[in-house]
Amino acid sequence: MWLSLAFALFVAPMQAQEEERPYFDQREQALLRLLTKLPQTPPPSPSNRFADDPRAARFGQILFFDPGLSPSGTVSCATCHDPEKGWSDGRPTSLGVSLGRRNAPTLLGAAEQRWFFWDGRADSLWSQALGPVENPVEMAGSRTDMVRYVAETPDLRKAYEELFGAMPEGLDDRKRFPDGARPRPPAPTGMFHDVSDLSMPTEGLPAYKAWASMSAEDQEAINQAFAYCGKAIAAFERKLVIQPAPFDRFAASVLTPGAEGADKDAISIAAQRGLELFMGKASCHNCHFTPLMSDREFHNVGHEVGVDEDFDHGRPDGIQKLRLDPFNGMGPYSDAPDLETNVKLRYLFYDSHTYGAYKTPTLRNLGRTAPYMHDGRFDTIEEVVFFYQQLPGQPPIGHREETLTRPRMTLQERKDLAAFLRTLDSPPLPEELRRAPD
Amino acid sequence: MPRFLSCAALVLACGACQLIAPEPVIIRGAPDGPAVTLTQGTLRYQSSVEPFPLNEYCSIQFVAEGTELIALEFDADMPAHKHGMITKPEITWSEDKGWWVHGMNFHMPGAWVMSVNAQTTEGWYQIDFPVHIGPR
Ligand code: HEC
Ligand code: HEC
Repeated sequence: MWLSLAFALFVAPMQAQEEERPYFDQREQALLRLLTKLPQTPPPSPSNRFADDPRAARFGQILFFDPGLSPSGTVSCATCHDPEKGWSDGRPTSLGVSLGRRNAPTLLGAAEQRWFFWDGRADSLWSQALGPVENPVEMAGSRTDMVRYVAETPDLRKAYEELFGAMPEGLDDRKRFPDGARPRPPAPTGMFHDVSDLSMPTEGLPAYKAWASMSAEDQEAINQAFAYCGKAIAAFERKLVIQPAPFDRFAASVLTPGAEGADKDAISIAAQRGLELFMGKASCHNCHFTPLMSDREFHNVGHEVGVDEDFDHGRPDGIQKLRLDPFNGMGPYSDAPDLETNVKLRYLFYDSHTYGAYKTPTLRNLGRTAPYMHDGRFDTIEEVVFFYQQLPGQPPIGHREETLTRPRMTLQERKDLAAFLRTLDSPPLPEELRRAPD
Repeated sequence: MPRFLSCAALVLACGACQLIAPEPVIIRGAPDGPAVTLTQGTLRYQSSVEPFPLNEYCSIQFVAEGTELIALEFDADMPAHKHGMITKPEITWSEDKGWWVHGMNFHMPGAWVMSVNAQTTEGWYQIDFPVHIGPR
């Protein structure tokens, strides 16, 4: 009897001090399965028949790291998607040739996405890659200059021609192919088009005039070569796959104990509690599911905008631009323009739900991709978690989604959730993917 | 005479509204139950991907038995989130394939309701099919 009293007095309290591991019930295990099954290869990209061609990936890798794609010779894709900064740039909004208005997303796992850009105005990785080249605040170039640059750089020309055949002829004729020539981007006409959108500048007219002066065949030749370059860049980006993170090793210990890599101590107990919150009271999994921790769709989380700030509409603009984009999946440069393949484009819906909505970003590698949100408004993970708890104010357009419920979390719970979000960082990709190839 | 006319008009008008807009029969299906009983016959749905996939595109076939389905309208939403569809599905009919809803995507996990407006040879029905998508 004395012994059991001694046990009750000394041993039991000591045991209680060891933190209790949360138990993941059947429902949580089913959700966990959705979050952790990291795909080894990205989904097929039928509109790009070079998507999995290793030569295309190598050529694309050269282009990705080459500042020569911008006429100033100073900005490459890697300027804003820096492998050492989680394939982002660590800035609230990107700085290319000048300052942009959106945050650069990570490219890790980007090939898993269904739509590209915060407003989803591209439906493939390869058509996305064409955007920054002509964006006046990013690389401020033109398709004509880029194609000419490839043609005039012997290594690039060789790599290009091995894959795609002869480059357009007569590129050194500046009358036929004027410097800076590019078409006026198609302008959305819907009610909520974004008049201040920097990708649709009102200046730049000489570039449009130059383009209009070209023959239809020459325009077509440039577009085709431009699309091929995009397809090569996409082939490279498809190699930026997400490596298992501590979270995945922990999830394996819950779902398939004893499996290779499974480790029940891979994340702290605080982070385990945070994971429970993520799938429970905080309901983050409603939008941040799939192994990307993104549903790959668009939601209005209701960010406030200051009175003197410009706001952008997000998704409605993206839908319209996508439909008008000649480089979309049903356009003449797609390798699979048929209706059957382009289900997502065909049934795309433009309605009031899309106002003020942005794409759910991946939460993978969050620890490396601060600041957060489409405009980089939050510096820390803690600020993001606090935002979801408070949901302050109202968005300037549309309405905040009802899925968001202001979960009441204690300080400890918010810390736990943040601890969980920090367990999603993967080890870096092999060094040979993080620089231009030899 | 005028009295007779207005009476006739009234009768005619009522007859017309009977034809054009009779009251629909409202039916709520059982949770995840793919079939409902109509005044005459049954209406059943079947997904091209079973069970309904979470956040993937699918097509849904509607099959009437013991009656003929002559018109179909389709909508779906998540009542708890006041959230509708991200796609605009297309309804098709052909003699060999029957009635199909193409381009549906249940993009969020949880409780959805498919609302179907169905006209058969006997009547007009507003049917709710509650479905659960994703893990429970
Ligand atoms: C000046 C900085 C900058 C440069 C240069 C740049 N990007 Fe980006 N990138 C961004 C920003 C900002 C966004 C988000 C823009 C938006 O949503 O409107 C983005 C979006 C993307 C996305 C979409 C990711 C997603 O999940 O939606 C991909 C892929 C991408 N960039 C690849 C590239 C490639 C390839 C290049 C080179 C051809 C490139 N970027 C050049 C800043 C840059
Ligand atoms: C209704 C869908 C939805 C829910 C629920 C949701 N999110 Fe988000 N999340 C989004 C969208 C959309 C964005 C991008 C919004 C923007 O930039 O304007 C986002 C952005 C984020 C970001 C920024 C990531 C980055 O790289 O910029 C983090 C972190 C995040 N969410 C965490 C959470 C957490 C934690 C929860 C649960 C408390 C949660 N989210 C719940 C849709 C959702």
